[in-house]
Amino acid sequence: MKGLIFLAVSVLIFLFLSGVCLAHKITTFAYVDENGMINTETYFSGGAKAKGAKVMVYDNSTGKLLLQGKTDNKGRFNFKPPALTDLRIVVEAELGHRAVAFVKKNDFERFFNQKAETKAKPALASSVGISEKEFSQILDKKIKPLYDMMLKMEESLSKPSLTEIIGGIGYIFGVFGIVAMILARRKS
Amino acid sequence: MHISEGVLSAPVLATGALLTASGTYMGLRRLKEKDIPTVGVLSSAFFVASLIHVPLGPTSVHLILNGLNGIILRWASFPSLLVALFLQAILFQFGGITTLGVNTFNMAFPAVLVGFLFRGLVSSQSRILVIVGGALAGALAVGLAGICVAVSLALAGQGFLQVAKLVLIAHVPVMIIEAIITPIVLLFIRRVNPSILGGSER
Repeated sequence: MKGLIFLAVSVLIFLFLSGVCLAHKITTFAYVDENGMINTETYFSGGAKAKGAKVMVYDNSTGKLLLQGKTDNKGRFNFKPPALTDLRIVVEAELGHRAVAFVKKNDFERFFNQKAETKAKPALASSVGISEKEFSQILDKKIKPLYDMMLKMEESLSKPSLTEIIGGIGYIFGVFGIVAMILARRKS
Repeated sequence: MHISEGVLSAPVLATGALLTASGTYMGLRRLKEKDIPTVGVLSSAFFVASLIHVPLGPTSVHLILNGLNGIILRWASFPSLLVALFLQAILFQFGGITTLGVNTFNMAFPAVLVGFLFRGLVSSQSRILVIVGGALAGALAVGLAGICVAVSLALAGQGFLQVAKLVLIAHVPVMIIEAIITPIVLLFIRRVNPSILGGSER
């Protein structure tokens, strides 16, 4: 019998260690890169990438389907914004997993209408001696690592933390404690 | 196994909620005061087990322990799993509040079913029968839950066979693990507190 308990414990430890992650939903992270492409990355909570998941891009104001595709082996799907409008990106993985991400139109507006922006801030461009376009490219390159960092943070936040798990167990005990209290009161 | 918000249609969600409500009513009506701690412990076991996730192919799977819940709790599996799934939904956004009914039914109904089917085997004197009953209950509860998920998704317009195939592939490993874990836990309970398995009406 002791052997059996030992076996049970080792199975559990094995499950925890063998690349097992704590997961249960998918999350999609979307941002505009330096070339004006919208990059999306979809992963299961715990960080495993959602491969071959269906991606649908909608116009957020009208709800019209603008384009669709599938995530690659790294859970990524990149596309050129199909229209200058707020976008709603819906990703559906197998077995009823679904995630939604939004990209606002001002995030990629400048790639649609670069002339307007150059006009809007001529002072900056002339004083530094580089064009607005170059400046914006440099800025995007600098920001890229930040996006990657945010993605990593979002991934780790999507995992249930130990505190939350233990808190959840506490809630469950509390709920059944209340049930016990109600039953005890009814009896007396 | 947790179906997300916005995947299913309103009638499917409503049906799931109604079925879960009736199941929970059945469970609470039969619940005896002395069994409440058992329900709480099994609810937390289910809550934690579903968080251990193994990446597999395009998706990932996890232990479910609904068979164990069903064997020990029978109808009380409904309140047990409802509470655990509700907390997973609000704490981790697994599944969702609107899909809570469907998700609970998909896992609790097979639990109740195997509970009634294998209770006899599991409460028998023979160790071998306990092991066989536990293994079958563990595996079958997961398999049936997978079929319930496939049916729910099929009702939402996804091709049943295609989804069912995926569900099956994803759940065969879980079925095997549950077929091992469930008898281990049952043998342990049988040794330390056999009255939990004794055929008291629940």
